[in-house]
Amino acid sequence: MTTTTAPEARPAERRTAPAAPTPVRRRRRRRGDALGRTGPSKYLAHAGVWLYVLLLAAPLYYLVISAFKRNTDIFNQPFSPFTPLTFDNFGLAFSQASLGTAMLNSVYVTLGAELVTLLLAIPASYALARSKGAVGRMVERVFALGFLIPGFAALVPTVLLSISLGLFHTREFLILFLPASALPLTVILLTQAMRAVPAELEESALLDGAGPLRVLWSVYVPLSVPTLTVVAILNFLSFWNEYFFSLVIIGPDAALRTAQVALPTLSIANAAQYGVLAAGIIITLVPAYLVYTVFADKMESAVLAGALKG
Amino acid sequence: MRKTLSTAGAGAGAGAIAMVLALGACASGGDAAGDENVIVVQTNWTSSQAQNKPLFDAFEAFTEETGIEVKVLESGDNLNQVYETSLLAGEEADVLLVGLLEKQLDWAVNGAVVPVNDYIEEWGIADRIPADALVDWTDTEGNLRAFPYSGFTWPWWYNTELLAQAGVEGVPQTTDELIAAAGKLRAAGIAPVVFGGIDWSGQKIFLQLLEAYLSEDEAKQVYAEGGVCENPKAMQGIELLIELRDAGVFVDGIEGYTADQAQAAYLDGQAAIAPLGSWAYPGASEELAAATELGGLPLPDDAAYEQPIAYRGSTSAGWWISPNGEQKIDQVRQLIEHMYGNEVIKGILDEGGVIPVADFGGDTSGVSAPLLAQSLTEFPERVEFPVMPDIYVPADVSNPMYRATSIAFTPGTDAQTICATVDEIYAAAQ
Repeated sequence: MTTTTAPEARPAERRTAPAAPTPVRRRRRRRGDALGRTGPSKYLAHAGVWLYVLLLAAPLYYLVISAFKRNTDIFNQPFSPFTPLTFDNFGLAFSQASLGTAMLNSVYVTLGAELVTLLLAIPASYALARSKGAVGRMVERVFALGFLIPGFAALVPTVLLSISLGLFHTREFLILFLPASALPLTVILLTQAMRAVPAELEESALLDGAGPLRVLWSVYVPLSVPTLTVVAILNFLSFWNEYFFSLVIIGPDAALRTAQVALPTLSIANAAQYGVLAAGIIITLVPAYLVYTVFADKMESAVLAGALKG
Repeated sequence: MRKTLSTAGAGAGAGAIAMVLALGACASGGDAAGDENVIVVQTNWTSSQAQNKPLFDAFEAFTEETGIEVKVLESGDNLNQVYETSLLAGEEADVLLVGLLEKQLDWAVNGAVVPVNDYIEEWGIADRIPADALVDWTDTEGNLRAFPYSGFTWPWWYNTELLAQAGVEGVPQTTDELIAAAGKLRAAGIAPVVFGGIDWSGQKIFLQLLEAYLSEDEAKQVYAEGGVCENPKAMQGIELLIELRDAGVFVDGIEGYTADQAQAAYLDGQAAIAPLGSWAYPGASEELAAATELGGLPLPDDAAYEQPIAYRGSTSAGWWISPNGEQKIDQVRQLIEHMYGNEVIKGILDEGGVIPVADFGGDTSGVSAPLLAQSLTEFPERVEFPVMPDIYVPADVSNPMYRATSIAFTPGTDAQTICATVDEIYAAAQ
């Protein structure tokens, strides 16, 4: 006969027993306790964080305020906003460095390289994510080895390659070359994201008669959009700011040069125009900030909308 | 959902590709290499500098006269690197307008440019170039590297108003007077001598002090080979530097100043004395220009020079001909002859403030900038000109010497440490 009273739970079971109701309230209470326990030290932490923020903001402030100043004021009162300020530097930067054409060239190279990178990285990551064998692991490691090659070390062979391909002094070579430097990180991040896609979704698609490309396009890509957004933004910033290969391979021709190559012509050794240069830098930063803020928000909104529809 | 994704994806992909192609088309440039009717000029005389306007006007006038288009590649400070890479591809510019320093020193020897010994004679330009400029532009193998075009003066600027304000009568003419002036300026709260102690401008002043006791030939040898510690006269120059430094002649923290900071300090009236090159003339306000007397570095009585010394040179810019340029030498000849025309040279001097190397008849009546006028008239009589180090200091030594310069101007550094630092740089470059 069984006893009518339940035996008391053993201590170990008590520890692993499900939590009592109202977890939210309990969590809130804990957080408050934690803040309470930190006491005055939290003010120290806040001060430290704000100091760090100031340290990060100082160069940006210096850049922005310098864009409105004359050379002598930049040197004599570098951080002061109480010097004569002018907008002329922006107009001078735009006209003297032909920044309009240069920025169009930068957009062309950046978007072209971005497109090539994604076109190569998405199928590669898909294959690596699905691969279970030793060959897949080895190929993934080969991609990881790409991190070990410093870009500068590849300069001479890259220049020779562009010459032998007849693509020296062209932007198209950069569109083909830049993805090579971006592929390791892109492939590794995308592979990890695609590995997180539940196998059941792929099985359902296969049962519906989808082929590998359909599975990639309709299952893996939509579910990897957050990571795709991250790599797209990282690559955009990297391609947009690329200087050395653009300088050496595309060259100084005003019709072809990118914004990063055009900017240094605003300030040379014994005739520096730092105000104009700072204004030029701000002009070329605008697209990068636009992509980082507007484009990222839109992509994430699209992901959420797609998830709700699915 | 599948259809929607597929359509949207295809649309986005096609749109992106179309956008990229459209951008490529709308910002593409033509290929001027090999075009007989186009001369490609690569230069660091950028259109962003107002003083270069006469040069670009001269190119336009040349095109109008001859029908030959001049395509300008503006390269800034990285010109030599970009040119050498394009040379590798056989796509280098036809002509370069750039100075003689660092990598350019070996261009003719390395075959990066064509020696112009014959062309300068055939085209009748040699007669208009001073003999010492031709020597400066000729390398150790006898190659005339380029057509010397523009030079510079590098005087010491003295703000006579600030000097008077501190109770200093007249511009110092000896080391003792300079030390006394610095003391009075400091007492009046005015910074004395300022220059870029950490960069190229300080390096030149360091070398100017180094050669205070050296003859021209001795200076050339020291610049080319080093051996400062073993040279008693060079060591005297370093001792002079230490004397001035320790007497407070240079502004506090001079070892960390850049040329730009130094120039700003003088132009803003914070410092009373600064060695600044002729490229700084356009930056001086009217009042400052009126108060400024151009002079040199005052020296002790036992120095190698009787008057204060200052640099000048003919190596600011020259016209270089590349292997590609030699392929269309007739068009290049027309351009060079046009650029040496009296009208063009006068325009570059009068409007641009650029000092030409070629003889232009000595007519400076059109020079309106007061400091430029002073540098062409009174200044040469006030000073002596020692050897300009740029063309003798090896390219591999020049940049590393900036660090040695900064060390030399740092208080507490002794003469032995300074000379040893310089000699180590020469040894490392061999």
